[in-house]
Amino acid sequence: MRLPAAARHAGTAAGLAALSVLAYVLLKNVQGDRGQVVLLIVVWTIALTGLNLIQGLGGYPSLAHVSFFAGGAYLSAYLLGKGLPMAVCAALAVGGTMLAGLVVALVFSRTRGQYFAIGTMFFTAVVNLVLTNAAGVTGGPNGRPVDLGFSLDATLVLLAASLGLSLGAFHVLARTRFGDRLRAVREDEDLAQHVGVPTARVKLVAMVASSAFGAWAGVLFAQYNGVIAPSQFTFVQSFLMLVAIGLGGSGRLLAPLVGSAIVIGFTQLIKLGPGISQIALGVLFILVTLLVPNGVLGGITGLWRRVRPGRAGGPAAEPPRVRAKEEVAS
Amino acid sequence: MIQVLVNGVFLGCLFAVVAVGLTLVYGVMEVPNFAHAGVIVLAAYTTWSVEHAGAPFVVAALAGIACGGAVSVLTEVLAYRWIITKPAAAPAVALGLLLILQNVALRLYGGEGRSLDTPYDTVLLKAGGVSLPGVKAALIVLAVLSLGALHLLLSRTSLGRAMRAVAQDRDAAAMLGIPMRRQYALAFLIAGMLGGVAAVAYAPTFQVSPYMADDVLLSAFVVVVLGGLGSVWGAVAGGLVLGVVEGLGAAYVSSAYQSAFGFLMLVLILVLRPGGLRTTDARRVA
Repeated sequence: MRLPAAARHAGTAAGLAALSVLAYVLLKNVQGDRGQVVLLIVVWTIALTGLNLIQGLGGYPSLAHVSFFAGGAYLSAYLLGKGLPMAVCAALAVGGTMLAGLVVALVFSRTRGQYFAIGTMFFTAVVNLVLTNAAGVTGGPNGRPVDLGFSLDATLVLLAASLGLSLGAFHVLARTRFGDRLRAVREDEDLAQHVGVPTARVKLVAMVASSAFGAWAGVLFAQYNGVIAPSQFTFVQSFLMLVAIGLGGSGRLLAPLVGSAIVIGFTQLIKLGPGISQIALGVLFILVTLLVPNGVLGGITGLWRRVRPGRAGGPAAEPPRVRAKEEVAS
Repeated sequence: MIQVLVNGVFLGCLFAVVAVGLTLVYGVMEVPNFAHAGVIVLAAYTTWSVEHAGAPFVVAALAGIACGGAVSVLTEVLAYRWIITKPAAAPAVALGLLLILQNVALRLYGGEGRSLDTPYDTVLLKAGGVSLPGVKAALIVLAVLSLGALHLLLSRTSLGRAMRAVAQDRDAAAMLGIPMRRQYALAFLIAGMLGGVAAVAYAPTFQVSPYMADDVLLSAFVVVVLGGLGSVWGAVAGGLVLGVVEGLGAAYVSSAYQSAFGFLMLVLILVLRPGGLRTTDARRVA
């Protein structure tokens, strides 16, 4: 089943591979502040691909995602400090964070909408509290250094490869029955339950899967950055992640990439003075939520359809951006 | 022990004032108003700057409360009003507003904390080994007064009756000719003024900074979940319970993790009763 699917989606696969190569070239060649921006966009895209599952496809606004990101970063750093080999550390960090994700999912996937947002937001706040106060393990408010586990070049290759692979994984997942079930939960959870979708299990799996993406991104981020601190994992960050998915277009393949580019670009590149860029981001986000509920990508595909009325699917030669529009149709 | 309980009651009053504002707004509009923290911050800064300009404290406090009300109504008119038909977008818009309000404060007043002085700073009430600083006593008094006033408004006036009607059933209320927009604006005005009261009363015990209200807001949301979204008396009772729990936790386990006890409580409630302790409304929100 997988192989023929991969063959049918060869265009997408090629596009994602090209994206990975582009990411590698940029990571390798762009230096200084702009290099940091490229790194953050790549890391966020990997992490947000997970959020795109639960928030984009499932319609659950998870504000716990930055905690999973922090979990990967801190766990791998701690285990590396204990002298374990890097591969083991990475596996344990991702596994441990998925376990935490499972607990969070068990508690909060019973809740809906507002309660879910409040609960996961509180979870992030408490994780941040622990990171700040458990100084023995986490280094306290000033953070802790991270030992070098992968060589810098290996980290870059992993970052670039993970970018394409995680987007590819999302592309595949969104087309499986699991993806359909998540969409059903988003559209009408009671109806989905009624027609036999195991909603509780679907939400649980989506949450655990999303935590894996977040944790892996955290591991790579810690390796590249060399130092991690609680201020990088506050609930404002969690909220910005939510904003990124909403801006990009919930549930669309490239939403994490477009969203992180907008959010990171606004906060890092445009120097409007302290606060102003975040105010602009807030205004932009509210405007997009009100005027273009499907996000930037949704707006573009909507325009594209209006310009070129015709069959909805479109020929296969079109770029992945157009592919994403099938998501709405289903 | 009694000292710990008194501190718990202080925290509880603070949570109750903030939570009642949240629950009022949720009751009439079904919005989780994360931006409430931003309203509190701006109200606190207004109080600080008016007092800093040389006005007496009472004037500054009234200015702060008025500012809270004004900012809160502004968020309703400029943003929330447009998503009444799209409840799914509400958390996102609320967080966007929080981002805007906090950064406006950051932009206007800078990041460093300011201390708000009050005429009752130096007062220390003592009774039988229990001591209560004047600022904390003032907060308890203010909370009781403002919640009492709110109770009178909701139970004795036609405005209050209309607001309760809207909270019970929006469509039916609209059909009976209640001007909905005015009710929305009124709910936000009251919530904002309560936020202002919380800011004026709470800022002197801490300091004024753009992020001063984050922890309080989170705890207030736990209170709202405890008392049931949309229930005013639930919020008051929940506030006192949570305040005492956090006070006990801070005193006997670890004060650094004070708000984590609130989280534990939230987890417990959500595990046992996913819809909150007192839900009268099984409406779908997702």
